[in-house]
Amino acid sequence: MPSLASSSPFSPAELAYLHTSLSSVPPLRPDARSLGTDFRPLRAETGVLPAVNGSAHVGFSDGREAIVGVKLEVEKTVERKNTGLKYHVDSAMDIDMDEDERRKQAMGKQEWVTLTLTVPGLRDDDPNLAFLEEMLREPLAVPLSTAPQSDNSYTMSLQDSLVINSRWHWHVYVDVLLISPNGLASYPLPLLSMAAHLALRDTRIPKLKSEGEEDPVADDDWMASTYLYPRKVVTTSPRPPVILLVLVVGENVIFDPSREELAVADGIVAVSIASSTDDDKDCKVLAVRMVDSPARDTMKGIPQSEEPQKGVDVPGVWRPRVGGVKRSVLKAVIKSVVVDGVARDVMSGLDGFLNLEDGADAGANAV
Amino acid sequence: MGLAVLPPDFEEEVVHPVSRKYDDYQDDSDTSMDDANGRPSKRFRLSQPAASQIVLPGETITDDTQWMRGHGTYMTDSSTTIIATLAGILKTTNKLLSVAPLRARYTPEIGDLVVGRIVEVQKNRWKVDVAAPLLAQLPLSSINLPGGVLRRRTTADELQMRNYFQEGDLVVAEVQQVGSSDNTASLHTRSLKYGKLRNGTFLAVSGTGGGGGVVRSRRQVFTINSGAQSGGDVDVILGVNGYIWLSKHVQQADDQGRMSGGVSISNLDDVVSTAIYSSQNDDIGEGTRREIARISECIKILAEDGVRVDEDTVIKAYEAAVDAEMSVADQAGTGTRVSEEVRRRIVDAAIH
Repeated sequence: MPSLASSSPFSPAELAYLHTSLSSVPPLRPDARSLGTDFRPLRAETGVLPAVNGSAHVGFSDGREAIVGVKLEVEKTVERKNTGLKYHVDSAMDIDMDEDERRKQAMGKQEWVTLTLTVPGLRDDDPNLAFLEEMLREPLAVPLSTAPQSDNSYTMSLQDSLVINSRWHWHVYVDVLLISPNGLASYPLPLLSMAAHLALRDTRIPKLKSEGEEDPVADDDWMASTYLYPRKVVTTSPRPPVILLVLVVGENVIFDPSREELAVADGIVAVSIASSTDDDKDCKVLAVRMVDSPARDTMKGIPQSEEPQKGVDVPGVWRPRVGGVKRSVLKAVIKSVVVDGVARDVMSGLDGFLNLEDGADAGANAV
Repeated sequence: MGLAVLPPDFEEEVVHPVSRKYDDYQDDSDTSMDDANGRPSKRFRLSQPAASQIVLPGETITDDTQWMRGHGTYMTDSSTTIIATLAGILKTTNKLLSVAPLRARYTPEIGDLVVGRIVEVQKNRWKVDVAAPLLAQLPLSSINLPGGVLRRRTTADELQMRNYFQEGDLVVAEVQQVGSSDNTASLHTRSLKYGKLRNGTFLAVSGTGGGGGVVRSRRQVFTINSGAQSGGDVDVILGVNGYIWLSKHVQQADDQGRMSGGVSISNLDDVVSTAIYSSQNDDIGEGTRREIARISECIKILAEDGVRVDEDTVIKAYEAAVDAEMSVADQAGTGTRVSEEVRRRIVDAAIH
């Protein structure tokens, strides 16, 4: 797992100060946010790019910005070669054959979702970049419909909704451009995932004039197009996933970390969430990943008195972290995301923004 | 609590300066600066409302001969056209045209108090980032070594330079010398006021040169009394280069100075010990930490809104922030973040 390249190092005294502040209960955050679950406000707009199906422009208050364009293309579906194996697995699972056949037809493939990330000044094959790219793409391509649902709450994942007919499908290209004053140092994962989220919710699929198994012909009327993700949201309607970056310092769980906070993390956890298909839950966790903390490769502090014994912590002296998160802390992370409603707050914040924009559009049209 | 996603602030409608003074004298060839139609219709607001006109490097300002060129402009020998060399706001002083840059790097001057970060340890000097175009240098001979000022710098000292300063360490120092050819600064820390920084937090705003940011003033180092907020005193070091250090006020240094009748060459060796090069923090109370975070937010707000940062504005802004917090706490109980209202009050207080 690649570590975060920090643009300018911090001094051991600073790191010790920040770490002590963040590990006190409640955490004292350097930007005077009072709670660990506080998010910095962000600015967003959708529909900024002219020649794409959907786009978004999101800016954080610390000067980072991301522009995302989503483009749909019609592609010919290549027949699966390993069908024999597939059937074998399915029959082993002992699922009703008709049901299986129907689902199989509607199944999309992971390869139909392509995501590229561009950061000015970084090579395309930079390991950090490739890792971020994959981390953003992966939750998008999760097949949600693997678990059989009762018919009324049956929802399709992104790739399943791309199927046109048995021979044709849509291919989604998500292109992300990051503009950041300090590169990847302030790990931009939440920014990028929220920008991609908004762009996907802004994405429209052109209405097709063709029907059934015909070759697809699109309607020229853009107003007749439908949204890729339905705009009218209820709690259980499908939404693109969002990735939250969670910081662990001592026993504290901190969301939306700034660059200073990241620098002293005992552990960094990336949690990708999606709106749940269950009625009684708001959100579900798609993936949890550990990210290397930049606190590993820092200089250690120099204590005032001369005899620094091995393995003994002097309070107020910085010691590079070795990484690793306790099981109980990881549990606390997941609990605050799912049970305490951080995920719900984030989703409703994004919903609220889109509603606001819809309202503004409607107002503009009425005038 | 929760995430706030806001639509962008729309820039105020660009007022085409028809009545601008020197416009009256322009001829048709000078259309480039009024050509604002190519700009995107909506974008994020700049740090200050763009009421004044912004020029870009290479842009023709005017070719009228009655104007004189000032800072940030350029004129070829053969023509009378004045061209901007900086991105910034066009200023006219009588018949002088100059461009004030939107942001500029710090230009070192002798005697400036700067805060810097060590980026490199070399054979007998450190390289220090002071936000200048080039890294400043801090020679081994310009720091206080443990054991007194009259000691020779030996090769042993060169070998253990990382015991004094290592990469990433923050120092407060004074510019001793500025290179004549390339403006590289040479720093020194030969006073007990200077040296390694600990017990606090760092933030960077733009230094002298840009619009807001730290300006040279009478006092760059001062103490804010936050006794009312149950926090101790907070020391503020405003480096002229825009780097700022906020730390817990330490009484000890002053006392020692007073007892021995001030620091001088003769008693330096008594006072200087290895302790000044440690990076061990003292025990800092939560109240003090909270006040440090609050002051740091105030300074950031000032810098973002293009207000100059000095002792006066920082203290006023901090007082306004404390007042605002109290009134907000009375009303709602949960003043989580510095709201727009509080922000406005802080800036207002600092300006007036």
